[in-house]
Amino acid sequence: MSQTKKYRGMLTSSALGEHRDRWERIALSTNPANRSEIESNVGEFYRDTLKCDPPKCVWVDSPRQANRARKGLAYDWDAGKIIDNRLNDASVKLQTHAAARLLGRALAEVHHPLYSDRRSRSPFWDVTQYGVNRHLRSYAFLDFFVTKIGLFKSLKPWLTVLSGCGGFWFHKGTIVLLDTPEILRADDQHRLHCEGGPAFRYRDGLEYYFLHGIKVPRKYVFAETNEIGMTEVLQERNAEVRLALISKVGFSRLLGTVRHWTISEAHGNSLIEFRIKGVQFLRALHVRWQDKTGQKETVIPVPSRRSEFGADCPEDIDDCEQVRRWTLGWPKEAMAVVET
Amino acid sequence: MKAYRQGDVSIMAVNRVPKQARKVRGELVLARGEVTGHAHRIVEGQAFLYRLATGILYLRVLSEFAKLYHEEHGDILLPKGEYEIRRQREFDWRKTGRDEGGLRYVTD
Repeated sequence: MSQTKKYRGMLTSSALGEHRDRWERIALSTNPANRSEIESNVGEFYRDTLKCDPPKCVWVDSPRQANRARKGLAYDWDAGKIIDNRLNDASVKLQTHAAARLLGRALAEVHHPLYSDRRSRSPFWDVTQYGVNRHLRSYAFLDFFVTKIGLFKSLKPWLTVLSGCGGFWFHKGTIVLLDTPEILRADDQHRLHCEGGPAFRYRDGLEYYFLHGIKVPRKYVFAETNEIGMTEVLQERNAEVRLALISKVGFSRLLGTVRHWTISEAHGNSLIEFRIKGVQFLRALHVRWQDKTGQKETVIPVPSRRSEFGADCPEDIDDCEQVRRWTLGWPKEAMAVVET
Repeated sequence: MKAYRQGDVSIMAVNRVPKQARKVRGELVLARGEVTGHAHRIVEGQAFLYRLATGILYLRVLSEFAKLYHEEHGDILLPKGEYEIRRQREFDWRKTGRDEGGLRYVTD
């Protein structure tokens, strides 16, 4: 009997869907960690697989608490590396398994909202080094083989630890375990998002505000849409935050908050002049585009006088397309091949 | 002059990378978003990144094509050649000095 035939019963779309749903629930879980179960699994894995004494488990509610708990502890690079290697080796070996392709396809959309925010200055940088959010899809992949097919059974205790807590740090003789978050809200694309409160909160009260995956100041989340005006949007220095504000309030409503007139239009974009208190006239490009996440629009402040454009001032500063090319730093002779 | 654009990053074909430009080691990241952590990066093909002391980046594509990837924008295939990388700029209207100092690069 071929391998594919042998596993056909386990690889039905409902079984795969159920497995995917389980890991999506794990990604968004805010249930408190079952501490005693996780501790016993940590002990079992250390004893049976790493062949060493179980470490002392120290629980924390947030990375802030973890920093305090980890003070003075020596980092155990070996344990982290060994566990990573075990998981990687198993994943690589299973890539050629008959069930791998179907399973991989079923799990393609499984994401962890924290891992998309893994830049070094992210508040989640620490917890994305180890923990379920790091390689959620690959853990979900492994888990299917371990729990459903019975391969690599020795990894089962560690997969239970991964899926049950928010992260961990290895130290000599101690493992610092992070509890799950108290609040974790995401949009349909698994990006952290909440329009009326924190999108993410640890159990000690440390919280963060996000709009469609973009970390924004608290004031923008709690402000009613009628409290945000075009002036505020144009004042925002960060283009991503500006974009998030426009998506929250709506561009046409923002336009209604300030006197304005359109100077020129081209290819769906427009050059608009605003009358703003204290600044008199301010110009901005209203640009629209479509990307992998959907339709987007934003405003880019541009100069309104020739002297403000600098050396490469466009011939016609009232021409939307020429001003747009100026923002991109394109000389007159530049020929656009691809724009995405 | 051929120009490619992926979001707020423009890639302009140039005759050659300036001699003074130094090779950048590590990942081939043309620009990275501060808030999202998303990056415009070369993921396929052979290429090298160079930087002038002034901060201007250049890209040299040695393979037939190099694939420029970003988490949100569509992929771009850059043919073999040399390129200058430019960031989109905007007007900082809150700055008092209304000259070149009033311009800034778009940060995301």
